[in-house]
Amino acid sequence: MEMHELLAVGFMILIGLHISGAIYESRRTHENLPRSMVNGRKERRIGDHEVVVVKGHPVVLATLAAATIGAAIWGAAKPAHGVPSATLDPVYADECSACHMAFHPSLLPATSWAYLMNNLDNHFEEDASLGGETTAELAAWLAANAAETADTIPANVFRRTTVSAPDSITQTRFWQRTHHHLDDALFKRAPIYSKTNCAACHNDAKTGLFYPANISIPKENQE
Amino acid sequence: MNQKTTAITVLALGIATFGIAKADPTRDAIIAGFAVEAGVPSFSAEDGKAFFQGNHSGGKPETPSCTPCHTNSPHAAGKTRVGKVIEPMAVSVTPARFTNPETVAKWFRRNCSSVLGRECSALEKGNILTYLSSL
Repeated sequence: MEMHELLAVGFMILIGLHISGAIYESRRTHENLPRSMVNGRKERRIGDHEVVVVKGHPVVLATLAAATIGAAIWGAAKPAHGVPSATLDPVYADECSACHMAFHPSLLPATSWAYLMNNLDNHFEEDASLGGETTAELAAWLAANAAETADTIPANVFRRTTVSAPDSITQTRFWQRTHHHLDDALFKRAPIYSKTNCAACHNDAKTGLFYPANISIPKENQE
Repeated sequence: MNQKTTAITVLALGIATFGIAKADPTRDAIIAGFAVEAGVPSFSAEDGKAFFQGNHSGGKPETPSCTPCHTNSPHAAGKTRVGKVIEPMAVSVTPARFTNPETVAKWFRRNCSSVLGRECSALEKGNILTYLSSL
C-alpha cells in the first residue's frame, strides 16, 4: 500500500472515531452537540461564566461582509494564477505528435523554443524540418505560451535549461535528479519506450501541470 | 440463390473490397507528378519493394532501411524512435496514405535524409508510392 492510500485510510478511521465521539458525548451529557456546531449556542450549566454579549458595529459588519463577498467574486472571475491555460495548437499537436508526445509550451522558455525551432533539421539527431510558414507560425505560438507565462513547477525549473542543450528537458539537473531513482530499463519497456514520453506516467502531462499526485507508472501489459 | 450462398457472396465481396486499395485522385496525381519529373511512363512496385526493404548507405547507422521504423510489413504498424505508433504504410490498411502532397514531400525529405543521407529521386519516390499503393 502506498503512503497516500495509507494516509487516506487512516483519515477515514479518524473521521469514524470523531463522529462516534460526538454521538457518544451527546448521549452522555444529554446535550445535542452537533446542534451547537450549527447555531453556536450551548446549554447553560452550573458554574458557567457570566455571558457577555459583544455586538459588532453594523457598519463594520457590513463592510467586512461586502469585502468578503467582493473578494470571492473577484477571485472567481480571474483565472488561477500561473496555471497554464493554453490548449495545444492543432497544427502543433499534429506535427509534433507524429513522432512523439506534443510537449506543453510552458515546459521550456522562449529562448529554448526559438533554438529548437531553428534547428528542426537536426532535432535530437532527426530531420524534423517543417515548411517555412508552419515553422514561423508554430515558433510564434510557442514563444507566446512559453515557460515565462506559467507558474507551474516544470515552468519554474525548466526556465533554466542546460546551456549546452537548450532544447532538452531530460538533460536538466532537475529532471535528472527527480528521475534518478528510476531504472533505465523502465524507460525502454512497453508502454513507455522513451524518456520523452512524459505522458506515460504523468497523467496530466498534456496540461503542463505535472502535479506530483498525478503520477502513476503503467504496468507492462497495459498497452 | 439460397441464404447461405448470399451470405458467402456478400462476405467475399466485403473481403475483396477491403483488401484492394481504393484509388484516390490526389494520390494518383502525386504519382503522376513523380512520373513527369522522372521522365518515365510508369513505376515498378517490385523496385519500390526492393528499395523499401533494402539496406542503404549514406544515412544514419541506426536507419539503413525503411524497416527499422516501418517494420518489414507495410501492413503492420511501425514505431518511431521514441516508441510512438506509425500507422501502417499500405494504402489498403491506411486509406488516407499519400493523399496530401505536402505530407508526402515532408516525409520523403526527412526520411530519405535519415536513411540515404540524400534526397530521393523522383523515380525512387514513384516506385515506393506505387508499391505501397498496390498492397
